[in-house]
Amino acid sequence: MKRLYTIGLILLLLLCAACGSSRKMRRIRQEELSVSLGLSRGEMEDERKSIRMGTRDTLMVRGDDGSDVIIMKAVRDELTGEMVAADVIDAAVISARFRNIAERLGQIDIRFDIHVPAALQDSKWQLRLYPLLYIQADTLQLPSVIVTGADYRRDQLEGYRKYERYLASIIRDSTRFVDWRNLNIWIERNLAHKPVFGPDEQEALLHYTRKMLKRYHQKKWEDRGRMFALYVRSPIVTEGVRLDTVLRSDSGEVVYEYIQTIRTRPRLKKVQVVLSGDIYQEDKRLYTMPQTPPLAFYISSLADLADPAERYVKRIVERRVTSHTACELAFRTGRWDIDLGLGDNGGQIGRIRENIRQLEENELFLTDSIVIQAWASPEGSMLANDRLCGRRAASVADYFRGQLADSVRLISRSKGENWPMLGALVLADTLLTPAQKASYMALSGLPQARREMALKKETSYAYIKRVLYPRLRLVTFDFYLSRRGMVKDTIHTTEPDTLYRRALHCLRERDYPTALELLRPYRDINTAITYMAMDRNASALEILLEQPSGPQVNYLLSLVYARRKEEQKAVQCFLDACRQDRALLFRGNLDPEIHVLIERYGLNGDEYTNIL
Amino acid sequence: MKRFLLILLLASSLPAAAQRFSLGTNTVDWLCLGTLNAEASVATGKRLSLHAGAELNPWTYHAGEPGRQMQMRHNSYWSGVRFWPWHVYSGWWAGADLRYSVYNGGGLLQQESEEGDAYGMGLYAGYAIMLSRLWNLDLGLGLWGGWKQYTRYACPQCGVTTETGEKAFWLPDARIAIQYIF
Repeated sequence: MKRLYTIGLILLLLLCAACGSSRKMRRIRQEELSVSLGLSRGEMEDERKSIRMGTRDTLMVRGDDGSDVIIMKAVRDELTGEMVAADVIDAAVISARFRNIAERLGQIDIRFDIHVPAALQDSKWQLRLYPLLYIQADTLQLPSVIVTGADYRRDQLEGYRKYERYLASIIRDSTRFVDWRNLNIWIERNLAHKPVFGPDEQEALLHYTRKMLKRYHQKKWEDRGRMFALYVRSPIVTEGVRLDTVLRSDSGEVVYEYIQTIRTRPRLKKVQVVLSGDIYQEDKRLYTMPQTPPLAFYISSLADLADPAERYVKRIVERRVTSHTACELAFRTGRWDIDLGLGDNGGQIGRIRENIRQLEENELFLTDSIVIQAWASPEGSMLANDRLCGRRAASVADYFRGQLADSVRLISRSKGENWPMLGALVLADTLLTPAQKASYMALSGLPQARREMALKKETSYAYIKRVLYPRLRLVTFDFYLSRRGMVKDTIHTTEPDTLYRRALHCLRERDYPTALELLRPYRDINTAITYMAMDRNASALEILLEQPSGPQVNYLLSLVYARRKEEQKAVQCFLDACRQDRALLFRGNLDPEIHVLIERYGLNGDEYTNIL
Repeated sequence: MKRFLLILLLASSLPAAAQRFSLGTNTVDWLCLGTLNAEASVATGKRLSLHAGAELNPWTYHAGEPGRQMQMRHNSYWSGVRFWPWHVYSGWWAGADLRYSVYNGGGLLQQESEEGDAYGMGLYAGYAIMLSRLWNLDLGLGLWGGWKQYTRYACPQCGVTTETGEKAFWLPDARIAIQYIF
């Protein structure tokens, strides 16, 4: 009888436990309960700490009229109208739905708290929470947060254990299917000595493999996916999950601080976060929570302070312009007439012709004259080579004369033996030895008329003659052009600095390394902003101190000093900046460094009206 | 003796070859009133072996004791063939043989005894378990049947004939044999 009572009591308790969960779910459905989003308490606390951590309670700054003004951590007493020392009181509840955050190094940190009320928690449940980020026209799914009940996790782990046992029972080693005992005996009998009958080791191995056992385990292996789904109904997800926490006991509301770093985008001013979620029991979804109201983050960037003014560069435009090109024309030995069928003459002449055509059609330039000069290799007498070069240059000039306007002067000149180029070719050659090169260079002191005779005695002569000499027989073209319609020889002009324009574009696009690379030589306010965006404050300060004083410069100086913990200078510069441009007082709240100063010394209060 | 040693020496110097002969004895026959038996075989191919054997039971138990005498005296000879699906002397086999037997038995379950000649054919199947390189345990079941000429007596020792004649017969046969493979 006593045993019956015990069993009855246990059954009653189990029933109550089951009813408890369903009653809780009924309430959740009726009241449409959901998790909530709030601004990060941790972040607020950090900010309050940094406000409290000011090194000094009072600061001496210079007023508008040059008088000294003392700034202290104080507020005006509403009853007496006197200034009294103040301290920052911790906020008990943070109910604001937006926050200003600053972009640094091209990134922003979105921090918010996810509050999971106790009513949504149950040991048998799993809460799957999906934060969504609205950023400009895009919606980003942030990694999920999972809150798992202890019983839910126990069932998950039990499923994994069952599956592991199943996997462990599968034989994957094919050698374990072989009946080694019988195979060995058989081999000893039939193959250890002179084999009489047919089967070999492979056939024997196949015969003594337990095929049914192998098929059985193969089937088990193939079924592992199905068995995983059977045993592990709700797998532990790790991919795309920020947190999977297990609740050991009813600990009231659970708060998780979610931090997401994202890259900023050009013109990004605001991002919004919402949260949705589901409650699961085993693999079944019990409830889908309504989406939370959005939490907004307003983004301030130092790039917004960039000076958009264009820069101009001075340029000197010359009336006369020259262009040079060379072609390797081949001539028969001792001949000067152009043979288009010889070597690559067709291609070379075609290229020059195309150059001349482009110059003729050019709307900017007018071709005044073309100087054609021919070079020869040192082979033969210097006088004969000189004469031959002259004839070849004249022959080329005659060839092109018909294709040019009458106004274009064609001048042909002989350049003689091409010793300068031969010297360069010898030095650059990779097949000649250093000794051969040194020996050649020793000849360069000789007069040109004797130099070739001496070269003939060198071991390198055959190679030089065969490989390098043909490259010396050049014809060069120098085009002398002038700008159409330009009378003066030079004009000094200004035009937009495209490099600076590109740098500004990079700065606005938050591509700070490229912007800095381009802006570094300019050393202006935008260079300083780029340095500051990259947290290189010493370089930024150096540049800012070189700039003429102005609201932007003072504001940026204030930021730099605040970062360098030089509070007095920071406050002075901030007040100077606000005095010059009151809008910067509001901007200050967007930059965390300035915001801390404003909060710490109450710089936005009425008592500073006289200073501002 | 010298000749025997010489043969042994010659045999040991010959290149060893795969084992293709067997000698064996059936323990079930030994349990049947101590029937002496032996069987030899030779493998003729990968899947075929030829077998020949003989049984001898000369024993009479409780001879001359009325109501207690029992005997299963017989001489049997057989010769047959076995098919091995995998390989000779290994695994499953099926076989058939021709048998001849002279017998005189009785007094085991009842007092009647019978003597005569039986000849016929046996069909068997079984499994050879390889115990080691040299030994097999050969298991088998089968039937052998055919035609017998018999005389039946009222008891094993009284000599009173109750029936004589010829007729067909079928007998089950079991085999748990130890074989030496060489």
